[in-house]
Amino acid sequence: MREFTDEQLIAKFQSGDELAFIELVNRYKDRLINFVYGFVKNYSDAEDIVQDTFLKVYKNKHAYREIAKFSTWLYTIAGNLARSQLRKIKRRKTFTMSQLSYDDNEFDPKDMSRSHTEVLDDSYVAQEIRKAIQELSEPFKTIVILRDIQELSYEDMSKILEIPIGTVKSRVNRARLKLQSLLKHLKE
Amino acid sequence: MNCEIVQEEFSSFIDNELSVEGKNKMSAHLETCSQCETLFKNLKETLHVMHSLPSLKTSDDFVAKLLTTAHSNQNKRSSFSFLNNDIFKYSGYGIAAGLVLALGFTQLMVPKIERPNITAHNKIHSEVPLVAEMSDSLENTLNDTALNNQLSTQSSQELLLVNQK
Ligand SMILES: [Zn+2]
Repeated sequence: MREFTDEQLIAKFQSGDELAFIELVNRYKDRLINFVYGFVKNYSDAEDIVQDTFLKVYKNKHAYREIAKFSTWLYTIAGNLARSQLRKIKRRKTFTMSQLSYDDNEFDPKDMSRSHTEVLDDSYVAQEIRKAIQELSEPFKTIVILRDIQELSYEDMSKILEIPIGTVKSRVNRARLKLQSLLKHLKE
Repeated sequence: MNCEIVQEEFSSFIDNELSVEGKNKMSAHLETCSQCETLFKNLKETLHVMHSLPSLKTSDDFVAKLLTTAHSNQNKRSSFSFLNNDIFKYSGYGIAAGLVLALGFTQLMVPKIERPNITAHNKIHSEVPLVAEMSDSLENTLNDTALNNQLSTQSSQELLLVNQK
């Protein structure tokens, strides 16, 4: 199975080969959890979303046509699921904010700023960077995660985001400068 | 070269996307402008840390769990689609069978609905884009209003999806 491209594997899966599906899952599951975690910042939510992403691929395998890269399709599904999860989290937050004082809210077990330290052995700087990524607006967050966490090429980003490479480049730069400005305190 | 233009090119410089001429101009500016030089140095350090952030792994039983769910969904769907008598053996399914009749089973052929008020067709469409029309993609995250547009254009998208089926 290893010698096949992603596109060959999904084609095999479309004609009923489940081993091809498993190979695709193994290729992408860890990359996707890092991608999704960047948005939802909670390990178990992120893992659920990655599960859902592959379940959708499994159920809707015929929605894929070979005119796009498989990875582009997969990231799009995962990104859409992460977005709708984020909306739910935001709604939940609005609800609790109206009921609790700010301090109480800080001890909400769902407080996301704490959860990553349980999962990741980050240095202080790394933790501050992860926090700053969360503070970015959603567009910049997407850009930074794709480019600097997932380390996708400008070309792949251009396909996933459906924007010209030139636009990707300028957004990457703006997003990084914004991130850097949020990290000023590290240098003071 | 002024500082603003220089800073716009930082990422291209870091990612090695500048022409030789561009690189030379950049280096020359950084040597004479301490403000840009500091910002550039800090940005590079941040990116270095980001590129070596410890990465997450899915749990060990990820694949097994996934396949179990996928297969059980598949079995559920096939028993509903054939409406075979087996489902009546399970008492809890009596209500489900009633729902099948009440809703018509196309409603049950589609995945569980997580968002209220949005039909399952729309959900499939918005989260599993047909490759031929992936305009509803991550690009939407770059535009907050796109989320709302997405909701308002869903009925037309549903038509599109039905046509392609
Ligand atoms: Zn300067």
